[in-house]
Amino acid sequence: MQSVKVYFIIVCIFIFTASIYPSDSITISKIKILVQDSEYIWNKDSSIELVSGIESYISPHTVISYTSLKPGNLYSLKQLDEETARTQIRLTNSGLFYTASVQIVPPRKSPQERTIVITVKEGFYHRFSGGNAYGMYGREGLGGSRSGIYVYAGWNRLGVSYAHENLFNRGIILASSFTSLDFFPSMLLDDEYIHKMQAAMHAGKYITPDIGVTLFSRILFTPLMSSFSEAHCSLGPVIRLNRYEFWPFSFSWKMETSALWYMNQNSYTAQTSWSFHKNFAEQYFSNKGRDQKLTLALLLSAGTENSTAPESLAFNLYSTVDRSVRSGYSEEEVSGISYALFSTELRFNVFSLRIPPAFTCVPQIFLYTDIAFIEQKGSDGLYAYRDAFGGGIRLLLDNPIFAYFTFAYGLNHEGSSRFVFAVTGGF
Amino acid sequence: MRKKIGVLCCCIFMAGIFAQSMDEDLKKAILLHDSAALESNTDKALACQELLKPYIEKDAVCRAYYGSAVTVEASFYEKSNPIKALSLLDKGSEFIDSAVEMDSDNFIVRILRLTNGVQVSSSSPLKRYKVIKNDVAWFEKNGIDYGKDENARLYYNIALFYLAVNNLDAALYALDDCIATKSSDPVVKKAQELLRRYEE
Repeated sequence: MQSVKVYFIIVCIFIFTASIYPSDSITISKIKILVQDSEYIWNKDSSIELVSGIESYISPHTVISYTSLKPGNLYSLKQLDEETARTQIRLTNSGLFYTASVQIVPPRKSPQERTIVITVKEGFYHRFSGGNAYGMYGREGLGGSRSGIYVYAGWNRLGVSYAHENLFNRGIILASSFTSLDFFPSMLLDDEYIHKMQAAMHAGKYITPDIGVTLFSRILFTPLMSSFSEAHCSLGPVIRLNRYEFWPFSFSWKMETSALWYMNQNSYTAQTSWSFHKNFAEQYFSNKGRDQKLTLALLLSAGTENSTAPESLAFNLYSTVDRSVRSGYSEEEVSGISYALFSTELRFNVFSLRIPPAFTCVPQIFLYTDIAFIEQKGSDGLYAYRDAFGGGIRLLLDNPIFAYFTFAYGLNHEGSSRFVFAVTGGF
Repeated sequence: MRKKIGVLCCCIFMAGIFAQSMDEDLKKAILLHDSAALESNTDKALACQELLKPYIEKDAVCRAYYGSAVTVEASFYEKSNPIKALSLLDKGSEFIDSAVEMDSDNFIVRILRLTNGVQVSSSSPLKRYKVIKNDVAWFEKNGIDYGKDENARLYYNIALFYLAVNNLDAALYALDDCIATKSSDPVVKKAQELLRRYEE
């Protein structure tokens, strides 16, 4: 009996070891980082060294902050292929580079080792955008790092925001913003608008290139509040995830979860949003040489707060960007103390439109369905059903504008409709 | 009848003069184009455009060089006026594309589009890889035999294209082919340097 037990333990250890170190496991011997004409080498036991050319504007530490590949680490061939592809997608989507490629050099000397070559070309760092009655100017890549500053100005929005996402080259996140909303409209006599001032801060870290965890704090104050003790001061953790998967098919998903405590109101809110994107017929459009894209996007979002929370903290599914029921309900009908929202969109990027002097605009048409269950205050735990079915068009102005506008029109099962305009590229 | 023959002779004579002056102007323009790109000289890029402008409706090579000179001009505005730079890149690329449409079997026009497209795509938001993919396919179909130096430049740019579209094996073969030409053109050194970077 004793020997059976020993054999069992040995077999378990063997299986466990085999699963950790698969037979095709390989090591990354070094990573070469090519930024413009500069070449850097990152070896297992040393820091990143410049081996040829002059120091590039974009730091190699900025480049490697987008990858979890590391010299000396063990990977299976499949894991290495996938992480290489993910790194390239992250670098391309960062907006810091005109081109980015990540390649595994075919082995010639040692079959169990691989060299990775990351090649990037520095991009355009100015950002221009705007929304309903305001404009935005931004500058990314400050000091060659993952940091940027944005300034907003206009009729209903004034503000500035700054973010650094790789402080001390350790993936530390520090972001802050100050925003004044409806300052000028509040001066009008009709009392329709209330001036709001908001200061917010994120401090945290990227645990992996895909997952960022921050402590979020925000103060929201309006001149209507008789004292500062009425201000909304919130504090709590926020987790963000943005990942690309290759199994069982390639798709991307994003998650954002937050739990906030409102000190002055002695209330809490917890909220989570998960979105999934899957492209279809990519090969077909590629073979035809068309710039078209067919995407299925899904969003699952839910939130709750304590029942004694004031009405001003209620979840608003009327005007919250990328999290709303886009049909003819009133604001009260789609606001509540807890909710679950399921949205789907079938998107089709029709073509690329040239706008003089040299901008490219991609019109995207989409069909959508929003289904929500909302618990309104005083409803004794009953959830109201809300829905929306409709379509719309988006105008996507990518690099160097990075501005996205959505126009949607939807009906609910009662036949009430609403037109929605939002400055967003969708969830 | 004599009158008609006279007019015909006159036309042939004029066409000969036009062709001669076009050839001379093209030679001068190519020199200006190459040195403008090398020295980052906007005056030379503009002078090149000026020389080629009378021929761009009739000759594909002149049109392609004209377009390329416009993209060279764009590089001078990259920092000071990026919107203008992007606009010029767009305009220049359109000229090159229409030159290929005019004479799709002209290898000079194809080489120019490939070389220009690789440079433009790697240094601006304008991505030309889908267009120049056709040129690479054209050269692979028709073979590369245009003399040592031209072959070396062509292989080098094909390698850059394959690197950009993540086909490392094809890129390394193209770099090997570039070095194998034994040309004295500077691209061979660049190819050796690039190959070294992709070694273990």
